[in-house]
Amino acid sequence: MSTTSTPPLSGAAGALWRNTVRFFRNRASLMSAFIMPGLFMGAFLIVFGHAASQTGLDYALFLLPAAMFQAAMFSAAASSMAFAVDAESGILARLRSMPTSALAIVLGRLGTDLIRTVASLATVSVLALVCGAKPHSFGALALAFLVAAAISEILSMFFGGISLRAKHPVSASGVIQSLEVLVLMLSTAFIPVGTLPHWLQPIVRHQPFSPCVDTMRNILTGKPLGSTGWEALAWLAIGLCIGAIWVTRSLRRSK
Amino acid sequence: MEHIAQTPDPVLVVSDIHKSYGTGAKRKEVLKGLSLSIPAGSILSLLGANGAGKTTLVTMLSTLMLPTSGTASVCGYDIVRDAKQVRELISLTGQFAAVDAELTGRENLIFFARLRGLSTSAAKIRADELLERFRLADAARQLVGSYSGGMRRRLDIAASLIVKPRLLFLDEPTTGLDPLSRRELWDLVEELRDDGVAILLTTQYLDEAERLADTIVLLRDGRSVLEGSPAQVRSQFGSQICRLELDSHEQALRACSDILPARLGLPAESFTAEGLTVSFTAAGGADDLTRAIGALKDADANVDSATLAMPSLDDVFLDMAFEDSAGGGAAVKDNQTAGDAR
Repeated sequence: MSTTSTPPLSGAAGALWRNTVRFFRNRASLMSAFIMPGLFMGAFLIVFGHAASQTGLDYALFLLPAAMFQAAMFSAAASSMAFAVDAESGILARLRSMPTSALAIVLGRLGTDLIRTVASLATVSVLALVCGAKPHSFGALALAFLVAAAISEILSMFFGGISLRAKHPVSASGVIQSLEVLVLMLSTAFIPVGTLPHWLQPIVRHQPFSPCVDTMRNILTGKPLGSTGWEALAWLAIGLCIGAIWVTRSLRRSK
Repeated sequence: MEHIAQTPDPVLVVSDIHKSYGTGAKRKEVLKGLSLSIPAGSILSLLGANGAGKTTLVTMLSTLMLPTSGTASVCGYDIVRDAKQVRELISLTGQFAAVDAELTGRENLIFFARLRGLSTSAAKIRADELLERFRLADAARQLVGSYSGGMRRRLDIAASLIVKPRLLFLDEPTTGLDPLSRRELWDLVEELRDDGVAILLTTQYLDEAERLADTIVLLRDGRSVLEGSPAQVRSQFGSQICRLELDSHEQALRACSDILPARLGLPAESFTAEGLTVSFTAAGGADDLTRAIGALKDADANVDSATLAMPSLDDVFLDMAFEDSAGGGAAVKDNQTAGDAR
């Protein structure tokens, strides 16, 4: 009658299947994955594209890392919302009272996020290329793609940790979804930092999102990564550690 | 050789379990030393006001939370040390149906089955079996979001039975269900009990506890204050209660203030009028009933119904479950005669 304990991988496969089915059925999720980042990029291109091309700037290429980061960010926020919904509906409690390992749950979640992120990144990359972006090389594009995917997974853990710890996970997720757009707007993603007041520039340049976008921008334009690259790595490492700790703690037995 | 009837080991043993939250001045003790046990093929119903500790106990026993002190074991496995083995043996059906509204009924069961360790094909077979048994086969491919409350609950319980547990937790399973669904669920729970599953049921509905429970444990302030079968609990609680239903509320009030006190020689405070019903503790049993009916007849008051019965669980609950209630336990009677006569 009793089954042997589920090995994490086959449990993860079950979780992955379910999460992916849910993603494709959820219209809001599909919108934010396929349409939103492209919309932002398209809007900026339409408004500023002509002026930018006058100065010789490859504006579509300038915007691509911003759109990629946005895709990664939206994916992560949607992932934390999915976690939150499971927490509040009681499904997470049921899973935790089953002989299912927490690892299976996390892997299933991250797997779906990866699928969604890749689909989203592909969409904006194609859009940018169609609008005339010329990345430094195909390898550069592929590398930026990978970096964005990694950022998405790390942010998923971080946002997931925040919402699972909150008293009302779904509300917390909602707040994350609103705040993240604000933080992205106040980064080096879309606006030229040089035009900001002097006291604001360092804040905007060094907030966590900016080095990530700048690093991807450097990759795509073939520039050396330098100190910005290290900064991005540091922020990501911090986010990953905190996220992993928070998520693991909430899936473990509470005292 | 003499054969001694062996009681099989209980499925659940809880021993002096404590749970408190917070430290120092903000320390809140929710469970203050609770012990109970459930044998296989038996239903234990936990009763208690909100905040008495029912959900806390279920949360701990389903290995979602650690106790502050005390032990509990399921089929011999300790919930703290052997959580993994315990999880193989239990199933948790929480207060709200924990099923995914964005998947179909069949997909839900397949999902949980795969997470439980079944292969994809075994999961599909098991899902179809359960859907058939719980009469959800027709709605199997509809999204759960479109299910009625009763259907969601059935699916929820089906999900708990993918692998038959030794111990099943049912946390307020019929809240919000229509009367027909409630009865269907009761039949189902009894079937499971007859099948050998040990069941820990929490409920606010006393008729549910009355119908389903083999044992009742009444929690108040983190402790067990009453324990026994429904009949035992009711008979421990007090003398028989006489209830008379009259034609109107005014008659009931008249009966309480004048007619009955006069005939029965009891103060007016002993009688309570609720709507059309007059009730009082009948220390003299059937004699009191006869005299009461006689008095009302003489006063031309029409008696629609008359009962003499042990206190209902409602009476017990209202008196014992709340700290500031009138009886607070004092109503447990002194004289043993009614109990002995049983």
